[in-house]
Amino acid sequence: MRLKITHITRYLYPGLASDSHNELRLMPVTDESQVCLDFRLDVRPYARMFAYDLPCGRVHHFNLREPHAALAIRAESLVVTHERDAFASLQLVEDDFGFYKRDYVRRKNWEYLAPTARVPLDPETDRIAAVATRQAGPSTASFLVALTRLLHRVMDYAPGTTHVNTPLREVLENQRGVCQDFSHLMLAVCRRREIPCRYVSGYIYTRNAEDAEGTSGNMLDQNASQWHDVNDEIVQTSTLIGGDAMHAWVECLMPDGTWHGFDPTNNLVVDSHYVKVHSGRDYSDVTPVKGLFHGSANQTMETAVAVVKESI
Amino acid sequence: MSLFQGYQTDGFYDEMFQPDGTPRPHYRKLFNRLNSLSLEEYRNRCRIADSTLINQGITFAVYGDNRGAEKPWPFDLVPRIIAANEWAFLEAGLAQRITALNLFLHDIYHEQKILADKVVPYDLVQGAVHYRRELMDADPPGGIYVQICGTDLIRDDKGVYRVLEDNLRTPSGVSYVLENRNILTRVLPMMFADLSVRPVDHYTTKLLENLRSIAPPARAADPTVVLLTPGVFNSAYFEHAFLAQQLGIELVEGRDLFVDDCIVYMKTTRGPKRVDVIYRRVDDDFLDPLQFRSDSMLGTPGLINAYRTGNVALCNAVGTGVADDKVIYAYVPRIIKYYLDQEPIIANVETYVAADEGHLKHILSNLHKFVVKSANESGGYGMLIGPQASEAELEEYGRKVQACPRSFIAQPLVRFSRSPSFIGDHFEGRHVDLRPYILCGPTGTTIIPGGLTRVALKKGSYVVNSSQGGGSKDTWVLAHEHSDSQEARGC
Repeated sequence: MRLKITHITRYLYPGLASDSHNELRLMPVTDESQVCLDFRLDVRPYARMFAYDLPCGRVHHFNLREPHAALAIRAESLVVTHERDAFASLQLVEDDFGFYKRDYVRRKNWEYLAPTARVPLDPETDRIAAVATRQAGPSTASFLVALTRLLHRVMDYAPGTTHVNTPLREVLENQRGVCQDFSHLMLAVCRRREIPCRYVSGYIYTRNAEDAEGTSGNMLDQNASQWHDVNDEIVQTSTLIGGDAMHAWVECLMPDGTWHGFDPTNNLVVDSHYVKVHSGRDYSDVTPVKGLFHGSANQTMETAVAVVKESI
Repeated sequence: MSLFQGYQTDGFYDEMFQPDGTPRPHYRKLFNRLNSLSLEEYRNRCRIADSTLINQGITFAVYGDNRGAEKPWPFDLVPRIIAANEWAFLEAGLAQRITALNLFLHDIYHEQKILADKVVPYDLVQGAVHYRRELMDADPPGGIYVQICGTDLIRDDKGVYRVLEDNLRTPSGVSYVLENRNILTRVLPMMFADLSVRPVDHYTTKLLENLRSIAPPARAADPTVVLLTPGVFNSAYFEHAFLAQQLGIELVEGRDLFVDDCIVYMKTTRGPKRVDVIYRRVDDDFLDPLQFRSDSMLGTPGLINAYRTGNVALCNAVGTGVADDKVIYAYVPRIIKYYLDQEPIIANVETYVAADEGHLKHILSNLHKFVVKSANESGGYGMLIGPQASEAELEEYGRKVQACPRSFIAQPLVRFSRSPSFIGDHFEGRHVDLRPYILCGPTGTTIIPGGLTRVALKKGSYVVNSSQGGGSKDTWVLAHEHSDSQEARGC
């Protein structure tokens, strides 16, 4: 699938911002499931862009020294995702958990097994694992599919009930949140079961917004054609809505040594509809736009994402 | 009456005296000199030293002490002397160790071969508090991670030197080496003429040369070097100010710098001035709030990305703390073997790692015999000295170790060597360690002869840290085998 993604982030600073320093994790990776053909960043006011590569993706960074009242970051990506049957490579029959006991696997993937500030290995999550295990066959993949389904069923998708720093324990108790919370919870369950797994940020292509409830708030597919070619100003005043612009899911290390994506928010196994941008131990490693500035902290942020399928 | 009257070695290895009570050959001249002084004469010399210290404002600060932030530096007039051959051995051992540690740092921030080869466990490195995952594949200027190292050595009761710990982040104390020497040349001038003590004052010249050498190539002709301090409330602020003045460079805080388009500038009265090399005495965590701790106001936003881009050099590099983690310490002999295929010249102290289940049991059942250290604390904080602890202290510490084994190591209490210190009106033996300062630059390794000898002034104490009642001595390395040695063998 050939997908064009437009991702706009706009900050407004009523008190003016200066000496602002920012890092962006917005560029889709190129890996075995997708190729990033083109990536363009446009920042207003103009800033000189720098970049560096980490094993899990590229980071762009820039600074703005002069006072400014607004900052707009427009990222446009062109990605080809490979068509595949998401279940084809999954071994759903035999017990293959022995893989995760191997010393080499544990040591090599240590950072994807260890607790983090956002994903403490809360023993409470074992209850979820137990239910998923009862519903699953003996294999890792069937456990992960069951877990994805279970989290989708038990958790309420409820934007506004959590914020970027809501602790996992609270998510667990209230059983609600957004894709970030679903993903962190799934990471905790998997890591307690010693399955190495990582947090993935990215985009999802949906023909119809209802298909993916997790993205209905920010996937502006139905509007995309309208602002595909128009300039920033019109887009930002007419179609921007607030909220978390990107989607998030979980990648797990499978017993065949490959990483496979699971999306508990949408109850889906990751396929060619997904565009992967960055991955890490938890949200902190993939924060799409991270910055610091001088000025009063009453800024507002708006984001919008459009994922458009292009005919080849 | 001699000030050494009644001096006892108490079965410890004494730096000055042999077990039979006679001075070691390389100490003979010093002993004769001190032995000839009356109490009044010795006290006079102490007064000269003290007034020099106070006049020059040589102080240090102790956190959490209400009796005033700044304290005069407790200085002990009796120098520690290291014979030429002993020093040659130490020099070789220290150079070997820092070479291996620099290779280790480069490896774990690039290919991670040593982890794949299972010589050091993945989890110990990746789980280390000071491991900087964000800086994978970032190359430090000149390719050298640790430019300045302070390695703590002790001598066990057989007189064998051992490494107690490596300080690879922002080792402090070198200013006291320079000041102690400065004072002793005034107080015991005759001795220097007699003994051919190797000088230490080229340290700052060499340091500046090394700092300038890591400047970005385009700026190499006339680089601007600054010393970055956390500020006046830091315990080593005196040293930061002292070194900046000795090096002839600006002393700055994070707020004096800013970054624009990945170039670091210093705010000056004549406008921004580009900075090329930062000798930073600020921990990684507080360098750049954009990268590490966003709650910190100490740092300079954008500094790490400027560093990554190669527009500014930081000394030491970011992320070196992973190699002076006290748990990684236990693996240094293996690290030396792995990279250099050599046996360590200077041995470690025998160390048990609580992360290892077998070791953990042994540690917990023998707590009263061990010194237990927390992996990421320094300055003698967070340490248990088993043989000197109460039952309640042992129990509480045992619980801490069990809760987080990764964070602890245990070592048998080394009865480390003593050296005479002036206590009240006579000399008594007090435990000493030695921290040599090692500089790594493009032209190789430079170790200034000697280093800082710290002394635990409290009777029986093994804690030499200045924050915990320690003092210091000047350390003399003799230029050649002492002329007395022939005579010593003769009689």
